[in-house]
Amino acid sequence: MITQEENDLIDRIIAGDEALYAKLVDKYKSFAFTIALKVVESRAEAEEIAQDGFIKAFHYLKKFNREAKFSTWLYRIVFNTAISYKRKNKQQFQSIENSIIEYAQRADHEIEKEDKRVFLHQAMKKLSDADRVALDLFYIQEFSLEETAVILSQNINTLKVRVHRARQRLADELKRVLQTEALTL
Amino acid sequence: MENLTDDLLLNFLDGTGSEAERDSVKKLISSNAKVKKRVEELQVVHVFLQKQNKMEHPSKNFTEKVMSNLHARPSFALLSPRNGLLLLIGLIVASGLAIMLVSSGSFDQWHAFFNIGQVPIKNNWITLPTSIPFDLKITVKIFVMINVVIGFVLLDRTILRPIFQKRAERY
Repeated sequence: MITQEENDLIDRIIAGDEALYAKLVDKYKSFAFTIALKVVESRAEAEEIAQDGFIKAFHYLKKFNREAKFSTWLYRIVFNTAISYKRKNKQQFQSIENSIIEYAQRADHEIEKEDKRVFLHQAMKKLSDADRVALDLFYIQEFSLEETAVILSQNINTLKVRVHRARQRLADELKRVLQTEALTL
Repeated sequence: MENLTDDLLLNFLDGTGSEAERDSVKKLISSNAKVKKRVEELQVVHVFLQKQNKMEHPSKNFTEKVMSNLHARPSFALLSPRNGLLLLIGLIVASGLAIMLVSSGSFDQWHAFFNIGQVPIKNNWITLPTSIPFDLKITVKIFVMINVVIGFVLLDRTILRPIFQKRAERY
């Protein structure tokens, strides 16, 4: 449920006092940016997506249903913007330069093969976008489980199951990698 | 069964679940080496996720950027780089074919006059032409020129800008 203060603020913004929108941007920019970053994994893109989300929210402010929380509504816009951005750019051709850098990163990872975090980072990349984002948002303490479920358009139980299965897969993947490592030593 | 145990263990790590569940998990951990090992495996993941997921902050002038673009259209192009590239290839192929056909003289015979001499308009002030010439060769050349302009715009908006943006971010 939206707070009275936010409700009044939104009324004044809709009435024409657009400068007040900066207050809402300031309040929620980090949350919006974090959500976008979890989806696209690039700070520049995440910043652009979050800005786009705020601009969209401003344009649709009149349609905002005041029975919901403004933050949740905004995060959902940002999340959907990020998802559609990622979908559009998913099959983007990879430059040779990109391939070289990835190779170099892999080489670096080989050096740090003892570090479980490296394996987990790699394992995270194998998860589906939906699983990875669900997992990331679940672990950011500022987002409640209910809020995360609304942002991802899932019910709480589905989200819980998704998060559990994703963690199982990560644990299994880590176990498999470590066993392989042990065999090759 | 494994899923059930894993669910219990994950609830235990999350600090959720009932008191009775937590007690039973504690007992399982102390009595069963397999369960203990599995908790350790899941805990590595749990701690990793706890550490890597924190609130991130955008650049300092984020709010100013949003406020200055409040009335701008959303910044993302309607076309993805992939679709832009496909469209660009289509334009190049179409233009290439058109140029080949023009240079081979395929359109040399394709000119005609639209006769408008019979149009019943009586006008003493303006002399209307009796026919309008139509040359397909010129039409195709105009088509190629438009394609070239669209091609450059596509190249810039959907391919080059994203590449340079990513490169700038990387360095």
